[in-house]
Amino acid sequence: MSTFDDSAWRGSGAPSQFPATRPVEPSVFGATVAPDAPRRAAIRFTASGSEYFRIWIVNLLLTLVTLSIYYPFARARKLRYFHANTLVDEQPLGFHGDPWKMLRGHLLVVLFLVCYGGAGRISPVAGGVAALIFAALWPALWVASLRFRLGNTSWRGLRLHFSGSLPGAYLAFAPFLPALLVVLAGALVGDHPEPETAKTLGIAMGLMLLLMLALMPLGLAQLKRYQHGHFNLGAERTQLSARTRSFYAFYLRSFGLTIITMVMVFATVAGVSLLVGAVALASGASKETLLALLPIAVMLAYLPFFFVLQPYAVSRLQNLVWNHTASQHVGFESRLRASSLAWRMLKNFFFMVITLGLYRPFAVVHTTRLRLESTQVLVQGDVNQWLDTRSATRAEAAGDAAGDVLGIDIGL
Amino acid sequence: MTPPAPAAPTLDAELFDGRSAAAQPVRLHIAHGQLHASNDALHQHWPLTAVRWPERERHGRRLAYLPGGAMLVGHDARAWDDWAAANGLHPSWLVRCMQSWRAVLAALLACVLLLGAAYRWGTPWAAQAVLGVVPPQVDADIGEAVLAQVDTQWFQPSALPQATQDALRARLAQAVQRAAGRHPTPAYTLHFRATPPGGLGANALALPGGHLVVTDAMVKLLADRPDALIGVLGHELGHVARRHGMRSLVQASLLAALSSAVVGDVSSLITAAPALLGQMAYARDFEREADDDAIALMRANSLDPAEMALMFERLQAERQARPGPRIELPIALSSHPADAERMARLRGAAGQPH
Repeated sequence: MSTFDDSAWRGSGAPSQFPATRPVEPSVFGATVAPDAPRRAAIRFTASGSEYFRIWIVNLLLTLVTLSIYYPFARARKLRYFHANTLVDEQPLGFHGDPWKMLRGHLLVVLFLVCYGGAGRISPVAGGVAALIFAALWPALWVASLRFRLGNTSWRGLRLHFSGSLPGAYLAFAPFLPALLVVLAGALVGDHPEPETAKTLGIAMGLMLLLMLALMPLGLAQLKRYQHGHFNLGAERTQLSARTRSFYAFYLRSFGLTIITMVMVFATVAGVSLLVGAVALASGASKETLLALLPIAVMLAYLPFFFVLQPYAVSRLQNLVWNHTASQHVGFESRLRASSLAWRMLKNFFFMVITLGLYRPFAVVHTTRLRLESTQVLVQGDVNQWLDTRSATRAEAAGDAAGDVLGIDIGL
Repeated sequence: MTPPAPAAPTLDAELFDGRSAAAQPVRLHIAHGQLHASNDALHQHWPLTAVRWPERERHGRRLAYLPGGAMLVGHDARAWDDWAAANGLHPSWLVRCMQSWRAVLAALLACVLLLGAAYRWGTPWAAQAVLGVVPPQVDADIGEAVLAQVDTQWFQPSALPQATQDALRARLAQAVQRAAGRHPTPAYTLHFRATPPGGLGANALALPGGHLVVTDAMVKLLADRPDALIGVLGHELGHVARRHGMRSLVQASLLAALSSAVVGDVSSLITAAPALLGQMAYARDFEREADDDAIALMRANSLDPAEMALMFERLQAERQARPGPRIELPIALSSHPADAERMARLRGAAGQPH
């Protein structure tokens, strides 16, 4: 979901079990929640592409001039702008991040990426080791980033926070272990050219690859359950009720769509090639000219995957996850259509290419608007009664602080 | 509490105290270096310097962050901006730049120039600087590792008679010696390798650490024209002397970083494209530099650089004779300049006085 780096909280979703299966409970304040239907609160995104363009250009210039030192300040400005333009029930989100703290995290991440990039180019073994270290650190970085982003976001003055623990994150990532082993085996194969060893490693790698594919949906389910099970606002804490088999169904449908797209693309390319080839040969073009066009045809054939599969996967996942995310008094309803997202991505790609990248801020704003505004929040009871309860749990506050000191924000 | 001065402009806003989600409607005014928020039930104030003020923008609500986690929300952005201006809270020059299309266009131009300069001079310079601190031992280690890898992937032991190999080695050593001072003369090791059918064919490559690899097919292709072979080896020696292999590694990383800074979070395809195109352009520059080195080596030995053009002709003839599809990439996607351009350069160099 690289198109959207503010999805942590502001993505979206609907209530599958909320509120019907949940018994009416007394609220923390002692008053009884009225057993009435939840109120629908819209999410509006009021930023404009042209305004973000102006912010982006100035930010970009300063980032380039300062060799990326200014980046955290640029990012804080962007997030403040995006948050102030995200109205949940007509109240904007606040972003409280301190750019100086974000600078520490930024320098750390840059240093890390430089070492990582350098290692991979020096030797396959060093690259493999670096990849392992990276993979081992990734869950910790991810949690730190979630804590930072949520902990610095507020709504109606109440800070959100992410309460997931570090061991919990590693546990959630466990189904991805075979993927790690595949990378490891790959590095070892490169290092052991003896045919026998390579063959054994190759077979092990193949088995691991199958296992990896089989566990991928489970891994995604675990990950989302962990992520969406630890969002907190006041006394509200979300749970993800989506079942693991829904994630398997999601993967199977995406796979089916890949096959259909592949067949259709192949048929189209073959048909068009035959037609063009026949016409061109008849008009006297040489065989060589036609063959020179082949790579272009291959690249064009690659594009449908971007504009069919990616929008499908992104929209279905957003709906699946947010429609099953709910807390005691809050639910979400996400109705993001794959066709709308596909059309948006097609337009983004087209304008990005013809403007040589200058369309980027418009693309970001429009995509964010589409994804946010396809979501509604369902609130039960009186929001005005919500209180910040974090002071009661000191341990969680300490965990938040740890994430906050480094200000690690990897833009999830 | 000091009552508000009658003339002080006021503004309606909502105060969130950070503990309750309930909004408290307040009236704001500024007096004696303090921001005051008051309604019938409360009156609070904060030093102006402790407030993190919102930046002036056209869209969005105005959010002022207060010490202690409290927050003010102004739902009428224009009223907020007017009130702030009336109180002498003027936007910084940076924010004014973002408000002005003229300044934004100037910034855009500066970005373009900066990116162009970074591509043209910055990246090669940075690569040079990085290589300055990378000890040659690293080149040697990488070269060894890559040689071991290509040996298993592409090559077999050479089938050339030892005498032919020795003669070529001696000839190259002599040529390099004669060219001392006029051609970069790095330490090198010359390897001969055979290629399996359908493999690389006639080719020569330079690896970091001074490893030159020539295929048997290349030696056979130019068996009757040893001068051309010296040119080919001079070209690869140029790559070695200028540490092109290492430089392209560093430059590729820097370009990828630049590209992701500009178009980063939209699409991985869009991010990869400029980095790839730029990298290929650098690679073509490297080839041109190495061709110049080949020309220098040949001239220093009173050889005709046009001889090397012969190699391209023969390679072309060989390719045309081979059955199966031939794919010529568009030049922007190729790591080498067009053969025609390189041949013209070599022939042009032949005509010039030595």
